[in-house]
Formats: sequence, C-alpha cells, structure tokens
Amino acid sequence: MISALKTILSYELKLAWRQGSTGGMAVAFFLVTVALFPLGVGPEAKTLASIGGGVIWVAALLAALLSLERLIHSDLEDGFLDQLALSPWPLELVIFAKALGHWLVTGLPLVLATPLLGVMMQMQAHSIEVMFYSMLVGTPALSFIGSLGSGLTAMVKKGGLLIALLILPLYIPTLIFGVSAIDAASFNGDPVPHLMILAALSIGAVALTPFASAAAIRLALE
Amino acid sequence: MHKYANPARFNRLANAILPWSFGVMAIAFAYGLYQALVASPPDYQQGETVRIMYIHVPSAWMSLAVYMVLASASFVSLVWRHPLADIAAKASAPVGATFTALALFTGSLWGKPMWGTYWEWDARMTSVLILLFLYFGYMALWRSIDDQQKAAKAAAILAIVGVINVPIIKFSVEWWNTIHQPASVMRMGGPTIDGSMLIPLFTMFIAFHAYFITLLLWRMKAELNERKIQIMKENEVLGQ
Amino acid sequence: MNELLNMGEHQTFIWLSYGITFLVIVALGIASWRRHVRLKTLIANLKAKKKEEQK
Repeated sequence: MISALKTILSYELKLAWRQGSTGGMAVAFFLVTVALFPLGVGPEAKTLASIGGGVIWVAALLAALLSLERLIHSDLEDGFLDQLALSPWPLELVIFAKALGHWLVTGLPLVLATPLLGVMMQMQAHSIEVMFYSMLVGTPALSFIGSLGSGLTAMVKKGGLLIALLILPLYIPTLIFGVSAIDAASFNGDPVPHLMILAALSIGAVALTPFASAAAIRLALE
Repeated sequence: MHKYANPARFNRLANAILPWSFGVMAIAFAYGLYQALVASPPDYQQGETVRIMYIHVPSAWMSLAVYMVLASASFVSLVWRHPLADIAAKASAPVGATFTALALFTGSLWGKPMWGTYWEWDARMTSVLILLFLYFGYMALWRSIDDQQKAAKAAAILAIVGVINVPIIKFSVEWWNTIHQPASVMRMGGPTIDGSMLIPLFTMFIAFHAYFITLLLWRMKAELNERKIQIMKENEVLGQ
Repeated sequence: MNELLNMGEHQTFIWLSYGITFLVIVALGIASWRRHVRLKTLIANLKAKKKEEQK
C-alpha cells in the first residue's frame, strides 16, 4: 500500500517537474488573476483589504480548477491508467495518490504564495496569517473534490468547461468557510471554529471522493 | 432478460397512470388558478402580491423534491442496475431545472414589491441558485458522454455526490448569511399563513405534482422508444 | 372583467409571474408530449416495416 502511494506520488512529482512544473503555472495564473482586481476595482487600500480574502480564495479555486483537466485525462490517453488498473493496487488508492500529488504540485505552491498576495491586497498581518492557515487546511478539499470532476469528465474530449460546471458548485462550502475564517480574523473574531469546519470539509473530501472518482474512472476504462 | 421485460411492464403501468395524472393536473390547475387569482382574498399585509406565493412556493418545493427523485433514481440505477431508473433520472432533470428557474423568477418578482429588491443574497435564494447550477451540471454531463450507459453511470455518481452536498451547501450558505448580516429589508416567514390561503396553495401543490408525474411518464416513454429505435437500427446495420 | 384583472399597484409583477410561469409550464408540457407522440409513431412505423419485410 505504502509502496503504491510512493510510486504514484514520485511519478506525479517527476512528471510535474519535467513538464515545466504545473505548480509554477498555477501560481503564475494565481498571481495574475489577483493582480487584475486592483486594476479593476481601484487601488484604494481599504477596499482591497476588505475584498482581499475573497478574491484570493476565488482565484485559488480557479487555479486549482484549470490544472484539473489534465489530471486523469492525460493518464487515460497514454495508457498509464490502464496499467494501474491492472496492477494489484485498488483504483481508489491510485486516485488518492493522484489527488494527493495534485495537491502537492498545485495546491501547496498556491498556499505558499498567499502571504505575498495578501500583502499586495493591503491586508493586515493577522488576516494574512489566518488566510495562510485557511488555504493550507482548505486546498486539499479542492484537489480531492476536483479529482472527482476530473474522473467524471475523463471520457469527454474537451472537458475543461464541463469540469468547471460540475465542480464549482461543489467548491462553494470550501470557499465560504475559507473566506469566513479570514473575515473573522479581520473583525477581531475567533477564526478557529471556521478553520475547524474547513478542516472537516477537507477530511471528508479526502476520505470519500476517491471512491466516487474511482467509480467514475472505471467507466472510462471499460 | 429482465432488461426487456421491464419496459413493457412499465409501459402498461404508465398507460394506466397517465390519463389519471393528466386529468388531476388539468382539474387542479384550473381550480387552483381560479382559487389563486379570483376566489382567495388579498392578504391584509401583502395585498394582492400574496398571489405570487401560490406558484412560487410549489415551484420551490418541487425544485428540491425533483432533485430527490433524481438522486434516488440514480442510486437505484447504480446499486441495482435497473435500466428504468437512469431513464427516470434523465427524464426528471429538465423538469426539475425548470421548476428551480421558475422558483427563482417568481421569487424575485415577489421580492420586488415586498422587500424592494429583485435579488437578495439571502440563504434561501442562494441555495436555490446553487441547486440550479447542480441541475445544469447534471444535464451537461449527460450530454457530453456519447455512450448512454456510461453517461447514465457518470451522471448517477454526480447526482449522488450532489445530494450529499445539498445539506452541506445549505449549512454553509446559512453560516455565510449570518456572518454577513446584510443591511436587509428582507424578513422571510413573517406573516403566518391564513386559512384562506391554504386552499389555493394546496390545490397548486397537487397540480404541480400531477404535472411532474405526467411529464416524467411522457419523457420516460419517449426515452425508452428512442433507445429501442437505436437498438433496432444497430441490429439492421449488423444484419446487412 | 376589468375588476377581475385589476390587481392593484403591483399587478405587473403578479401578471408577469403568472404569465411566464404558465407559458414555461405549458411549453415544456407540449414539448414533452410531442416528443412522446413523435417517437411512438416512429417506432410503430418501424415495427410495421419490419413485419412486412419478414413476410
């Protein structure tokens, strides 16, 4: 079991590294998207600070979403998934490893980039700190729920828009609790309960979505 | 074998139900409209505007009820591989999406004279809007996969994930709403329902349910026939 | 009749919501019914054709 995890994870990481790092592109996308908001809304510090948490979270959702289209589809095309399906490892474990790999390659770089963006959005130090934690706790949910969308659209040739339509509504609870933790921090509230619920959402997604994704991918492999 | 035996039995059952559901629907709509627009008195607080409630509340109710039908049918289709179940799920989705859109539309037309705004990001309206997105995603997934059996399974997985998410979404949206405390004019559930409102409301509920059953049966029969035709055509190609 | 149609100051909202709702409900109903009838006749024709061919 552990060896399977290691094998798939190292494969994912190598692939990401060789393809010019999807994580780097996701972070670049994340930065550009957030930078558009001051240009659109205006540079006033008060406005930017008040919308900062929401903007950064929405940009993170989109960055995660854009990198999901290829998550399963490319492995299906080059036959890697067929091989994995023939291996003794359960497909659920394979999907778990792939989603974890997606988080390490895409989610984690986004988390690390948030403090910088928080400063650019004129947020207070305490809010930025809480935002960092909320992203750290919340982004696994994005990768794992996303793996489900990726699995469901694996059979579809151009699934990018379809993934967005399927997955964005399911991302809403994560978005709400992620942003509400930041808001609580900015208004001198206690962000911990928000972060707890966010963590619960992530744990639920990590525990449950591999089964649904595996069921969806079995369809594509048939 | 049961794959082919079942549709015939379903057809007989549907043909037995359809005249009744259609009849109930026609009578209930006629009587409900008369009650809603003519016979019932205007509300002492809301005035004539209360009449919008008689179509808004049943639409909102049906938007969720149809999603439950869709999800249960998806569950049956995944677990017992009952071919009629995925046809039922597919057939109910556009009807449910229509109810959801109508609930939003009538709600906003009711909100304007009542609370002075067409749209308010309150918990209920937001959840219904998200429900509409779930319907859209479900229908889009059906459309994008050519193989009908695979599409049925993929859509069923999505529907079940969606139904697990409905309470989570509801909870999160309510949480979000209490935090933001909009400087709102909107207070739902203010006036209690008067006895005179129950007759039109109840009649409309019956009408909407009968309408859904009628359309569901029509659409299921059409879907079944379409599949039969496809099989016949495939056999012809193979035969030649 | 005029008295019946008059719904007070907000009548536009009332008539618009009822009008569009029933327009949509009727349109969806007719569309579903017509598809059902079209496919029913289509399959009946196909079956009749097949029988003739078998003769």
